Amino acid sequence: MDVNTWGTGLPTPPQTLPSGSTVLQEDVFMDDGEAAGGPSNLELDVVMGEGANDSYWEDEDDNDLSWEDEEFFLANNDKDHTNDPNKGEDSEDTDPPQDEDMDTNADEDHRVDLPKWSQDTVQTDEMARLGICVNTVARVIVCLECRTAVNPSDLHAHIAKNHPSISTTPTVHEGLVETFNLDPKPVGTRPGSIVTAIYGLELVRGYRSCDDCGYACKVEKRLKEHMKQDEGCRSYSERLVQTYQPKSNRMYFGVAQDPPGDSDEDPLDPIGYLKKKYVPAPFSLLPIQSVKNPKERNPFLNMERWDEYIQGKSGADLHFLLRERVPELRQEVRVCMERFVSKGARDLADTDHESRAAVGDYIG
Amino acid sequence: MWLDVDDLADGLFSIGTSKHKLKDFQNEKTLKAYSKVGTDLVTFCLGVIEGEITEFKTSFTPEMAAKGKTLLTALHSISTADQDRAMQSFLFSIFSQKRCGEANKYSFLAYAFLVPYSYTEHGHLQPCNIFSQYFSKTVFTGRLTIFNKITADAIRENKGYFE
Repeated sequence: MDVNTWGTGLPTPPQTLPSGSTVLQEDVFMDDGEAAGGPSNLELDVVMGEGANDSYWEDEDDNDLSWEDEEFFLANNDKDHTNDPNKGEDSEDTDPPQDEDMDTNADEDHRVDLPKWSQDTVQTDEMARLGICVNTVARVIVCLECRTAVNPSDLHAHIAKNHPSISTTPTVHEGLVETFNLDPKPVGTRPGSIVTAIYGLELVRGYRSCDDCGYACKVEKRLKEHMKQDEGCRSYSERLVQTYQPKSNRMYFGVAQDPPGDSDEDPLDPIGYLKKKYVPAPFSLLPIQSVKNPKERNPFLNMERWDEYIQGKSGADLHFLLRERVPELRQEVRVCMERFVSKGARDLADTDHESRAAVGDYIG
Repeated sequence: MWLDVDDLADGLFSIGTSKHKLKDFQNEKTLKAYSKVGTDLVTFCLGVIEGEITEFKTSFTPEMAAKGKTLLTALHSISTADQDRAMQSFLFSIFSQKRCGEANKYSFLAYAFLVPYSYTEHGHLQPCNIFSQYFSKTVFTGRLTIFNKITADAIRENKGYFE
C-alpha cells in the first residue's frame, strides 16, 4: 500500500507527473500505542486537572502571549504534573495520541477528504524531497505534511522549523518564484475566484461560497452582506471549501471539486478500514462531559460549575464559534482594538499613580 | 542592594508597580496579547447581539445592541476617530452590565465569553492559570474603558479627574 512519505494520509500523486518528477513512497506504519492511547472523554481531564492536551491547541496566534504568560503557564503545568498522583508510569496512557492526523482543526468534523491530484499541480524531484508541491493556478506552494500554503519567502524557515530533518537553503524559494511566477504573499488571502481544489489542502464541507469571488462563510447572513458590499458578486451556493491556513485566521474559499465518491475508494482497503476503526477521535472533537460526582470535582469546578455551561460541546465547536467564525470582521475589530489598547495604555501610563489606582489599575 | 525609603518616595525605585507594567505595552507582543483577547471578546459579543451565537445563555441590553450596530457601521467607515468612539461606547455598554458578582454571572456577557474562550485555547480550564490570564486581560480592557469614560467626562466638564 502506497502512502505519503510523511504519513499524512495524502494520496500518492499519479504516475503522470511532469517530466523528471518522482515521489518518494514507503509502506504505511501503524503504531498500536498511538491508536490505543487517547483519552476516551474529557471527564478524565476535568477530574484530574491534567494539562496533557495542550498540544492539540497549537495556534500561530499563541505567539503573542507575553513571556510572563508563557512562564506562568509552564510553571503551572509543571506544578500540575508534580501534584498529580496518577502521573508516572501510567502517564503515557493518559496522554493524547501524537498522531499527525489529530491536528487541531475546528472543522475537522466537516473535513471530507483531500482533493485529487489536479493538472494545476506540479511536483519535481526536489519538491518531493522538500515535501511540497506548487499549484500553478493559485500560484502557491503547499506543504504536503502540514497541509498548509507557505509564503515563498517563508519556505526555508517553515521547513527548518517544522521539518528539521530536511535540508534546505535560504534561497530555496527563489527558483520556484521565478519558474512558476508565484504570488509573493498569498497566504492570508483567497485566490479571488473558484479554482480547482488545490492538492495538499484539506477539503471542508458545510460552507457556502460566493460563485464569483469564492468568498466562503458558514453564516448565510455574512454572505448576504458580502453580496451587498461587492457589486460583482451576485450569487452563492454550498460547495466544498479550502483554506491556505488551516490553523489560524482561516479564510475559506470555494473550490470546484466533486465530493469524493465511494467509487474512488477501494472497498477492500484493509489499512484504511483499520485506521478508521481504531484511530480514536481527536480530543478536540470529544464532547465535554460534566462530572456528576461532587467528590470527583476539584474545588474550583464545584464553585464555578463552568463545565455545565459548555456541556455537550466539543472544543472544536467552541473554537470555531469564538475565534474562527468571522475572520474578516475579526480582522477589522483587531485593528481597532490594537489602537484602543495602545492608546489606552499610553494614556494610563501618563496619568499619576493616584488616578490610576482610583480606577482600579489592574492589568494582570 | 538596600533600598532607601527616600528613594522610594522620590520614585527612583519602583518595584512591580503598574507603571512598569504599563511600559511593557511598548512591547509588541504584550500589546498583541491584550488586543487579541479584546478582539475575541468584541467579536463574540457582536455575534451574540446579532443572534449568530445562540449556544450560550447570555443576555444583552438594548443599549448593547444599539452600540453594537453603531460599531459594525463604524468599522466600515474610513474615519478611525469614529471607529474608536464606537468601540469605546460598545465596550462601556458591555462592562457597565454590573452582574459580575451575582450568582447568574454567566449571563454577564463578558464573563460568558471567558469560560468557553479559555477552554478553546488549550482544551481545558485550570484555576489560576489560563482562565485567570484571560480574566485579567478582559478586566484590563474593562478598566481601560471605564478610565477612558471618566477622563473624557472630566475633560468635557473641565474638571480634575476625581473632583
